[in-house]
Amino acid sequence: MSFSNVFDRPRGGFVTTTRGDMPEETLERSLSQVDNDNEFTSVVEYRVPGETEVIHRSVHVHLKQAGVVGTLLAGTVGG
Amino acid sequence: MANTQAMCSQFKVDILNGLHAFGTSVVRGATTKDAYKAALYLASASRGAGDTVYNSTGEVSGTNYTAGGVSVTTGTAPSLSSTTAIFTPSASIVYTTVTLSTAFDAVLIYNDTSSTKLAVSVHTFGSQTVTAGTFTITMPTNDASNALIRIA
Repeated sequence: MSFSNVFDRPRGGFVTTTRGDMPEETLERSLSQVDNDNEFTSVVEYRVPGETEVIHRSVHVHLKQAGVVGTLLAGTVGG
Repeated sequence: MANTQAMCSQFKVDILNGLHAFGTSVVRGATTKDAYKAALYLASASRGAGDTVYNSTGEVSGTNYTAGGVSVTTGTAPSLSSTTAIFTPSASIVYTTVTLSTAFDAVLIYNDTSSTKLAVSVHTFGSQTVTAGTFTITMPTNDASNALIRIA
């Protein structure tokens, strides 16, 4: 299975931020991703240009393989 | 033809469907499936195999996050993939427009129908925060190698 950053799309519309809904084109957008054996994670952050404060951060974790496996074994009788 | 010592594969699925009780069980009010929820936990919490029930200790808190988490969609019944019983929620788990400022890295799946909120499993991921945004957990492929819950 191939994975891609779900937030990597054309800009447009409004973004929910700590300062209310803001037009996306007025904000700086940064994308990042993590790809390892456990997960493929996409992150999008928005900032007001010239400021360092992150006013929106969404995260999408795609689990690749659950690390939880139960094993049942039938025991030997008469042994 | 010879006999083969084995755990019957269907038994594993039947366990997931609550059809066996070697010990004292509970009175079930209906034959319908139970409801499950997903709660998020701080990276500093200690959730794991020792958990028996949902525990609010170490659970995240923040804007638009309700203690206990969100519902898990269980549209696909447990099944067999070869000899492994498997179950995976049929939709992503979504926390919409939340602010979770303290780092979290785990989700507990638990039975919300049971009176004690019985724990099912804990799944970890890279530590995250969310700011006025949405946190989504998309499920792995529902097969013997990847399903969220596998009894091999």
